[in-house]
Amino acid sequence: MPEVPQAAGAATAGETRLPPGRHGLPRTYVAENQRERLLNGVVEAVAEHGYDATTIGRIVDAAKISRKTFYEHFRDKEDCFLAAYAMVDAHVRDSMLTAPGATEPWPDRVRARLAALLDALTRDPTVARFYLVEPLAAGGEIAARYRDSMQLLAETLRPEPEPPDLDVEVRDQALIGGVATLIVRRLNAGIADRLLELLPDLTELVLAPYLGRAEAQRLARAAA
Amino acid sequence: MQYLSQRLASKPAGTGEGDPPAGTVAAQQRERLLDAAEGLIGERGCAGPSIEAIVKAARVSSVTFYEHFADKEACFVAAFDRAVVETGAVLHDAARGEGEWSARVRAALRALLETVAAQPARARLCLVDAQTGGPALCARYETALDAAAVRLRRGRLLDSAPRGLPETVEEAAVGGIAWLLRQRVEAGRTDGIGELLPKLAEIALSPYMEAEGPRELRAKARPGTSNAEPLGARHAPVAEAGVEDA
Repeated sequence: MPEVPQAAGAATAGETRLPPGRHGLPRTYVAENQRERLLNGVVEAVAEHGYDATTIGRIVDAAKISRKTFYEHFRDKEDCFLAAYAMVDAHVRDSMLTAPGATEPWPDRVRARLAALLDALTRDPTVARFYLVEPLAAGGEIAARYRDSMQLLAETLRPEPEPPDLDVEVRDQALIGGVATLIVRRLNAGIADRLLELLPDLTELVLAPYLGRAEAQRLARAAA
Repeated sequence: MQYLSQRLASKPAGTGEGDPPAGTVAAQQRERLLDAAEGLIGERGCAGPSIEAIVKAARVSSVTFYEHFADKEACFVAAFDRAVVETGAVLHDAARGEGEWSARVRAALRALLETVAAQPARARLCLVDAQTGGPALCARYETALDAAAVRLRRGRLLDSAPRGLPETVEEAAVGGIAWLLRQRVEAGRTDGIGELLPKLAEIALSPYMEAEGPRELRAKARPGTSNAEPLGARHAPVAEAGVEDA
């Protein structure tokens, strides 16, 4: 089987991996192989029908691949969804960690990383919804994976070294809840193309608890 | 008309709008249907309960169901609306006993946590399934978030509030609170949820309780250059927002 970037192997994936940051979300890859077409199929089917009403029939229809081939790649719908989710997740996080400015010391990198996040989501609202909205409906293992990846996303925005703060994790959760809510509501409102306008506000939201409002504002609005 | 029971439930044009008067059999049936929907969603989520399951749990006929609701989603929306109205009243009452605005917010949050602990099925409907149960429910959920955000905007009038707060501060705070609650509700860990109170209060109040630096220093921070508008809350003048309630 052709290799497809996976979450776990994202950092060391081989030649099939596109350079991060310059291309759209995985859905826009030219899908040259069945597995990728199926991954694209599940994104399309879930976007059209919602997770619950998505059947393997709908996934293979969207992918234009036979049901038999589906089972050569995936055990069931959830397996296929999780594989697509891992690919999107790896892409988003890679983008955040490698974007221009993203390797600066904290707090300067926060703005760059958030910009990369918003940029990745703006490129394809369908994939953005698949990443941020659909897992809520799916529940179970998928919802757990979603929570894990949101937690990792929050950690990419944390100060380094971590402050001796008792409640960093609750702070992470509140933060990611705020960030995700602002993004998802704009996806629901059909204004995904304006997500980048959130950049100063999100930067300030992330930095204010650690730096205070004035300094957070200064950094959030610098070089706007 | 798709089902016979729908056809049997149809009424002449011009009637059938609005809720049945309280105390009538129809009103009791409607309450039972909403209770059943809420309970079943609490167990299995919005995708779980069929209309058959709902009418069975409510001990009414499917014709009765269609007399009250056009479809399943309309029933879920009504259950959500009822939960929001009732919870809103509880929060309002809790806040009323307090003087300072921040104390009112804290009291309302405490009442919210108590409600979540006491009614986990309702909490699941409002915090988890409302976002995924279809467009009408999702719109209701967002309206409820906006209403809460408008209440919080009152904090901008406090002396301690810094200038130039982004317009989306309240939307983010409400989203953060909803997120924290949802994690607990989804995981079925609502028992000790009261312990979240200090954290929720911090999320809600900290934007307006700037501790660092004198006000003159803060005033130097460049005022709002953000382009992002809050969704929904933008037309609410600060002076009106939640003056009476937390």
